[in-house]
Amino acid sequence: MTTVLKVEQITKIYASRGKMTYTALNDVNMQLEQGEFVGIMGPSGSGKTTLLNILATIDKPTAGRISINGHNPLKMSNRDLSKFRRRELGYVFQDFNLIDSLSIKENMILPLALDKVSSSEIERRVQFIAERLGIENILDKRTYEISGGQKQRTAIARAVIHEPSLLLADELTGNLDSRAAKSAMDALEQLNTELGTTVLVVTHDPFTASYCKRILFIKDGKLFTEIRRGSSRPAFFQQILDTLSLLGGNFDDIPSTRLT
Amino acid sequence: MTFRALALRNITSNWHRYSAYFLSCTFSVTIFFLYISYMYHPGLVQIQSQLGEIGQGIIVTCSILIFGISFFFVLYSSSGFISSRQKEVGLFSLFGMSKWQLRLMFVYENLLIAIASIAVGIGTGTILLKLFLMSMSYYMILESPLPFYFPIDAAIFTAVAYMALFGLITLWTLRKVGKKELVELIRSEKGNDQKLRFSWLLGISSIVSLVYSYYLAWHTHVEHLGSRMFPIFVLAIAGTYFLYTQFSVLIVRVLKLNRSWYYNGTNLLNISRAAHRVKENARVLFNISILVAVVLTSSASVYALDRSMHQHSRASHSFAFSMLKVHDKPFLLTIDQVKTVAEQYQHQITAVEELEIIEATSNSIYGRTGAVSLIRQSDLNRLLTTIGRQTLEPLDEDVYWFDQRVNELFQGGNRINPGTIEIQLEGLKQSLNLTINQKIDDTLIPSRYASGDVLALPDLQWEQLYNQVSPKLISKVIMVDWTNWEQSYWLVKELERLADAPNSYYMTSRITDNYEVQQTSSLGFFIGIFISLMFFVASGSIIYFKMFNDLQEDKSYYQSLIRIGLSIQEIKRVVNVQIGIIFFLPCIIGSLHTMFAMKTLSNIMNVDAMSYGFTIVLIFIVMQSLYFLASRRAYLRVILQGIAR
Repeated sequence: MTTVLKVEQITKIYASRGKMTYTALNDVNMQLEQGEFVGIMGPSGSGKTTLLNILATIDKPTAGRISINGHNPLKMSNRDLSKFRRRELGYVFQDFNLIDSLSIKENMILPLALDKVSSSEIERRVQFIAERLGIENILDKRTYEISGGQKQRTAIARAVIHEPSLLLADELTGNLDSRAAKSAMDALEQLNTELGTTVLVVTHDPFTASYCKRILFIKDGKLFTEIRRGSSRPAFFQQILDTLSLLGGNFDDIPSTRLT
Repeated sequence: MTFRALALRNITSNWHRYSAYFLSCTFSVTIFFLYISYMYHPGLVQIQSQLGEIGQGIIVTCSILIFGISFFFVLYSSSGFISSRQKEVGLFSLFGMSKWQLRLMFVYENLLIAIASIAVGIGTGTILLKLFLMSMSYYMILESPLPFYFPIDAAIFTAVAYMALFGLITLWTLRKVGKKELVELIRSEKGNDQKLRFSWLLGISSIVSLVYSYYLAWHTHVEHLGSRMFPIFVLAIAGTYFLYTQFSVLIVRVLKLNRSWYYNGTNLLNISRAAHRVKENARVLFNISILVAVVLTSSASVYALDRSMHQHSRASHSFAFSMLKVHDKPFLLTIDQVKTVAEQYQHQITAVEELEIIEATSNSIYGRTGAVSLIRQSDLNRLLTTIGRQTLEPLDEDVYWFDQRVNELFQGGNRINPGTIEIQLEGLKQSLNLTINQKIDDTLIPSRYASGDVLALPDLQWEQLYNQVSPKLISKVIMVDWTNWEQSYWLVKELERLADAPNSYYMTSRITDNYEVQQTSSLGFFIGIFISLMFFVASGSIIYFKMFNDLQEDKSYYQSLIRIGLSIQEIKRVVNVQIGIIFFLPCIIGSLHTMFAMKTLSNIMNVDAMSYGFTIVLIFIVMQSLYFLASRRAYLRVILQGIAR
């Protein structure tokens, strides 16, 4: 099995204008194998988002090493980095970030169009992914005509259409009701099992996390513990809840974006 | 914290948000103040009184126009500014600020901005006034440079007028404050994108009517001006409107059909978003296009008239200064005297030509008796060499005919173009038949000293006549050219003083002959430039506010694009297209309208208005580009802020 993501001794320290420094991540190590479905959980302020930003290569760690599919994004120039992002990474946002002026299909193909893939190849991939995610009937609709679950599945389709080596998801069910959240997670699970996409999900929703095969808990910028799923998801869900209560911290917080 | 302090704090700590609003208010105050203090400058009031009723009317109309433009402009920017602060309003009311307290806060804020921009505007205007008066005196060749003065009346007038303007507008915009539900205010306004609808019929007819109005404008001459003016305006305006609302969507639909192009890189983003932008802002774009067209057309017309006056004076005198000697009256000054004075005034003499003329009459050209002037072909060729024209082959028998009337702006009268001209000379019994070898439309000798038609005879024949005719018919012209003739008004005045012959027939110059015409047209030109400048700032600022109102929404859009994998370069390219469309589309459409209007003007008058129009359009586009670059910089700085690396 090949290693897709390797993070070694990542530390991130923010320095404010004064002499105050704030350690967001402290000596974090982790490793993802091809085809894994991993979750990261932690209370707010634990450093989840910082970690995700670093993995998404839009932020740089103060110290440490990262390797994604054998590449070292820390040594890349700006231009290579954006190319790297659109080839090797897929990104799913909490608020979908679909582009209103584009149709569903056009939203999906954006990474391919940016990479100048031929239009026949684009059509083929659209069909392939849309069927798997159950959005083939809404391809010509616009973003305001579809439900939240469909939006998130479109966003997932956009994130995997270029077959990235790593799919990153940031609170992808945060803006969805429970049914839509289930449909989005089902879709993600299906992609993971059928296509072998490596998935890394950041969430603080235990239900969403229960889809993962493995969950890393993070607290105050440090890895706290790691649990693995057995065969049953309900049992795993309970296990997550237990770990969370052990972890403490405030999980009821509402991310600011939810207001909008 | 008192309310005044809060308002002040709002402004000082959010300076970047207020600065654009403040600067554009200041600018319009400056322009208005400059215009008023210039128009009521004691030195100029005199010139204006020469303009007559129409001229006076134009000046008053222009003041109203400038004020009107600034009214709508300030109204627009202030309401745009308030709506961009909705979220803030929502927060304040969430903390318990009442509707009236909110309004009070806005009144304080607007009051502060109004006072500051009036003060700064008048201050800047006073500084610019000196510069402006200097360039104005230079350009209009005034008797003495306009003295600098601090126009108290103009300052008070500007301050009162703008205070009233700001007050009115503040009241107007306040109607809206506090009327919306709190939730709506706190939620960031999300533009609900509608599906882009369009009709093929309207889309295509917009292009058809535009092209047809252009065709009509291109082929309009004086005789059908009256009947065509109205259809051209209606077609052009309707065409422009549907161009933005219908044709823009249509063209995008067509572009999307080419899959391999559409799916290529940032085209996907550019095209679809451009269509939305144009459709959403269709009314603003339409208004700006029409205003650009109106303003560019009027300033190009004024410019064309001014330049053609200048050209006319250039063409009517091939030399800067001339003197005449007739048999009983010698030259008023010797050429050495002229040289000395010219050097005193820092003009270098570049050429001196002397030429003898025999006066004859003929009725072959007009069908009635008219004067013709006879010169020697060798003199002619010397003259042509001096003014840098092609010389003509000396002939044995035939003559060259110089038609000096073509350069006159409004030519009239029925002319005959005969192959031979029969001339009569006083003192000679029989008339003389001269065969025309070539007719040339050009002015060589000031039309005051030679008639409209100059015939260049073979040297031998001319000398025979010279010896036969009475000396009364012979005159001599001395023509002088010097550098920088546009500024030689004072030199000529000094020469007249020296000869003790003010406004003498025997002395003429290019500059004095056209002095008044040029002054009037310069005045018109300056007023035109004022209004254009005013408008330019207004339209630019409207676009600027439009752009910055959507800024927060755009920012999250671009940030998600970066996560998807757009490089900074690609983001910049996308931004270029998005902002460029809003800046340049109305500019280009308006310029096109202008060019066709100029074609009509060229058809109506003996003026090459197209090239002047082109100059004006070019200047406008350059200025608009500068505005674009500055706004793009500010925009990108905000967009890319917080994006690491």
